[in-house]
Amino acid sequence: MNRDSRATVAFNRAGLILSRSGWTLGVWLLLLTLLIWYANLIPRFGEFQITSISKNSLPLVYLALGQAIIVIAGGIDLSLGALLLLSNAIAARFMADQPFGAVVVIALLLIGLVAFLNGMTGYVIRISGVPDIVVTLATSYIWSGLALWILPSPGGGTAPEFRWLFTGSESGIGGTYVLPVLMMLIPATAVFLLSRRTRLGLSMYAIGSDSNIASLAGLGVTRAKVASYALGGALAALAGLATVAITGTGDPRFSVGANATLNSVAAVVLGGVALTGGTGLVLGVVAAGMILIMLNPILSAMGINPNNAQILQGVLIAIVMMIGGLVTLIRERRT
Amino acid sequence: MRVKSKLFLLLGLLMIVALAAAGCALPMVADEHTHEDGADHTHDEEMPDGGFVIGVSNTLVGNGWREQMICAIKAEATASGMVDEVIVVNRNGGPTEQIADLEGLISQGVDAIILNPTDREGLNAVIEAAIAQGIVVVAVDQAVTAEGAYVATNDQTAYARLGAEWLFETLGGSGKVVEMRGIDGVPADTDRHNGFMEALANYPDIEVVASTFTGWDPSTGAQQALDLITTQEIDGIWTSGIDYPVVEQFQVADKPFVPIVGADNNGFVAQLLDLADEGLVGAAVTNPPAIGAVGTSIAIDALLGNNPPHETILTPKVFATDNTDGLNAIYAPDEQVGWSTYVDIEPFTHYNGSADVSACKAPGE
Amino acid sequence: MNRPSPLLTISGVAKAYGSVVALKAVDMTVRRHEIHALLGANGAGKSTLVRILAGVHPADRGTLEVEGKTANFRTPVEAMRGGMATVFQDPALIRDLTIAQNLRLSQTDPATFAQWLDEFDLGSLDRDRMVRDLPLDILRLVDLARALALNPKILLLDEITAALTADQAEKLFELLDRLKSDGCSVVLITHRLAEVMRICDTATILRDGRNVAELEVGGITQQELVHAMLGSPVDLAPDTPAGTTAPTPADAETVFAVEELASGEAVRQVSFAVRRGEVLGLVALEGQGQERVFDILCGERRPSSGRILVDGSPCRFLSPADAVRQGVVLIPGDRLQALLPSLPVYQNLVVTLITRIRQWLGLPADERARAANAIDSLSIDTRAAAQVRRLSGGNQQKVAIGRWLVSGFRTLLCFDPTRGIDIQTKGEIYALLRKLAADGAAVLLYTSELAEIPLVCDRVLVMHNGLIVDEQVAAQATEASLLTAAHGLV
Repeated sequence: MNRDSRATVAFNRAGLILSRSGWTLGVWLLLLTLLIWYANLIPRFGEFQITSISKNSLPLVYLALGQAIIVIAGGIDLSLGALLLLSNAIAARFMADQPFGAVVVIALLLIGLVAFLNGMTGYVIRISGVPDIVVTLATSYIWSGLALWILPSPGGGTAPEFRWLFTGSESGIGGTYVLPVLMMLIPATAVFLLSRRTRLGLSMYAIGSDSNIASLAGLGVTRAKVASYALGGALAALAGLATVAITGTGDPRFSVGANATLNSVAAVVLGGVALTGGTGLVLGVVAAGMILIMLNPILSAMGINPNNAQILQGVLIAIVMMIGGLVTLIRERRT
Repeated sequence: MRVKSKLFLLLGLLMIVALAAAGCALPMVADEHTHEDGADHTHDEEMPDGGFVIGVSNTLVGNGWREQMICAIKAEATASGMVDEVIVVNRNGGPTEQIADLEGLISQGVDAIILNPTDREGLNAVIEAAIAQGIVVVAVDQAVTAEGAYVATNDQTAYARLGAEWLFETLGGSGKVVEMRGIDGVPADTDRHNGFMEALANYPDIEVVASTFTGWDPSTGAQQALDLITTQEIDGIWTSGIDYPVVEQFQVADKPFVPIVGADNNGFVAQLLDLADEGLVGAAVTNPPAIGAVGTSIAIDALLGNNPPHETILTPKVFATDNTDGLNAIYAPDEQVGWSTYVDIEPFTHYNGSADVSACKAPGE
Repeated sequence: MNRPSPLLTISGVAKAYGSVVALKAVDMTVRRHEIHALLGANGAGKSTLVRILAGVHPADRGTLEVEGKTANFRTPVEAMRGGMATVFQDPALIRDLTIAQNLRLSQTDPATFAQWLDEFDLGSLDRDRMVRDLPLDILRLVDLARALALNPKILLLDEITAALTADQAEKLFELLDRLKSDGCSVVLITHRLAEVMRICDTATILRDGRNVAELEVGGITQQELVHAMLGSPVDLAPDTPAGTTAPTPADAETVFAVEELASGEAVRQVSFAVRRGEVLGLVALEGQGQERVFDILCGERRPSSGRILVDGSPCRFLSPADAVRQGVVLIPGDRLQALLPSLPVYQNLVVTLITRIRQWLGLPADERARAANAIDSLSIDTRAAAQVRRLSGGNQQKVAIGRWLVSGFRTLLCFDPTRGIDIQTKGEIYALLRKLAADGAAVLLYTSELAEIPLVCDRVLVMHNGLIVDEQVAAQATEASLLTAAHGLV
């Protein structure tokens, strides 16, 4: 009897957790469906394809994780793509022909530097009261310009071992899928746990939900804001490093950064993090990032005209978002 | 409420089962395919005689030259009769995107890949991986350094040198000229600038009074040209392809034409033919997007086991106003001003002129 | 008389927001073992003083002392460390997190918290529920328990009883009495004078940014408190109380009616009719389905069954716009739900006329005149007219009513329109409602202050557990009779 009721409690609790993370589960389910579908579309599906999808997803997944944290904390960062560009340029310029040890040191310093720069951006936003979108739009031009100044044209390089770390192969292709998958899951899990299990992470949700109330509840709003931007910056740096590891070179073109920013916002929205802040789980964003990366090969394998692929991609995102809105609406009607 | 949460629980369990199943299934799938990979290789070497699938990777969308390049690939694939399907992956991006696209094409099991590379070295690994799987890879327009890849390019240094030499010769070896370049830092622009300087070295009395970057943008180039011709004494203009807008500015400003070098743009060729009476002297230097068709032809050759040379560099041709027959031959009255008129490249292309390229039909379309 | 030593001393505190001076100079002393009421009409500066005490805003001038030591708090955290715990009018809980997560954020000890929550029989509350899914009264108690778990020297309660049910308030009063004897002092801000008379020892009265009186509650009457707050004697009641001078003819036509309205578990069966010229009251304890009824009536939500009749013909409201088109308009309890906070008063008034704006020509002159008239007739204090959010709560509520005066309506739905409004403005709002009824409108008034009913209404319905359980003639209704019915004891 007692055991029964305990089981019921556990069951109900599991149900509660599931219903609250319904969107996240849905996105992962969608990813799984797409994977299975893709596997049937192409003649062979094996390690090469799994490695390819997981390593190619890394930059966007990192960037989307960073964007998600910032959006959860009530901001939005249009400079993340430019920060990717900047760290990509710095890494490619200074890692070229260095031994692995030096490359790792450069990578860590770079993550720290970019986290600091973006943390400062967060501080400026908080202190000045200028909207996030304005400040980060301005900084995005600064970082892109800086990237071009550091690496005026595509080039540079990195250590083969560093490429192996992200791609599972020293040449950046055809390696084991274990490494890229680990390199995706470890930061994603870390960010997830940080956001849901630590006071700092919960403070980010709090200031994103209502910064006034958060402040009344005695939370350090400035601290949480700066931390969210710094974490976003660190993840953007990681995305830049992954890009160097995948391509083996640096590419300072502005359009690369601008595309990356837009994709990160799309992944955040698709991943179930509301742009109004304070809700959503970063785990959904990981799947959403991978989905966005997978759409291109899938549409191509379906033989869809490349000029229509982009339209289709937009329509798909819109449909998924509308389904999300509908679910919320029905849920509200019912209760 | 309770019913709903149970529903979600069920959904979650279902998903966990699915994940577990996928986790078990995927490695097995991978194993099977390694065996198939081996089998495929022997099969590849047996008998190639057509029915090929060609993948195309391009990373600049909405650019007329690149679109014509893709159409040329499709037209040549159709004309060859050897190709069943052309899969085009076309989106804006850098090396990151192109690596992903190339991996996607490999996964689709194409026989050959034609790419316009975003990076000289960054794509080597994926290209070599494709070659290792028996895929023929041809880089067109820009080179790659990957082992075993075919490269077909237009000689950009020669493009500038030949045009500049024609200009300096026309000016009688002395005068004030303008160099209207493309985009700073882009390899093609650097190569062309080097070619221009090579030619200049032989003509000590030619003075370069201005050098601009048009960004290969017609309106930017037109504005710069208007500013130059109304404020300075100029004897000749060399352009990196922004040509017909510059000629128009002479008409706008009502100034006498000066000798001008441009590319094989349809609008410019038309001007060279129509305005010759009014004193326009100029030369169109070819930079054909039909290089895509050249790459296709090389790829088919390689697939048929004919071992074409790994490097094909097209030397540009110069069509000056004194060569009316030549200009008339390449002029395509039905096409837009930005159309590159020089489409038939012997001995590579088999389609029938601008009309076929413009139709842009891949096999089966 | 040997009074206990001072615990909190406020001297010469002043605060201005831009050009608006909220506090001119306030002195106040809170002693140990004391429940101290902070009273004043709206705009007197109570909320500002609370914010200063809680460390939300620093004072411009003046000092705070806790136990004789200077304590000018710059942040809420400093105030908490200094022994202050505050329960604000809006719960300081993050809507998108669970209770447990909120507790972790504020580093509240869960055991102590649970102990306090148990005082209100809420010990079994599931800590994994989202704040946004919980009703307001529960949230206020959660917020209170969290504040108490800080083990404060001084507890600041801002209008805490406003959202509580009668029995919850009762438990709170017992608790405060115990806290007092344990040595914790309480500063209580409230509009409900009965509460002050009942549990407070001392009352400081603010008027116009200054403290004008400190009274021992034991020796005075409610009327005297009101005098002190207003500076001039006023009647609690409007000039023409209902039921006496303006009886609604029983044969007046029905303007608005609902038949067997139901919605999920919250509203089981509700039927009533409002006649032309009538003010129909509705009272209920918190959470008996009254919010849902109003949501349905104003078109925000669709009922699961039942009919709404306007002038005898059934209507389906798919959106609030449908309801407005039928002349059914809502004055919500949360004034900011009705207003565009950063727009000026005038634009807020004419926003309901937006469909009548003619291309290029703006509003017709007569409409503009009506808007200007509304400002005059409502005696809205327009000193801060540039932005509605800078008006006091009472003035905001007047703007919310004024909008509909400008556009015209036939049925007025009022959901607790006097919540948190000072006594003088309340009187004006009562008079206004009566006047609107006299001019031919039908008014449905839900109120949480039972004393209002006989002053404003003709009839009163009592709702309990999703059903209308009683109907009384307002003039004969008493707080006791209404409260009995509201508890379902008919």
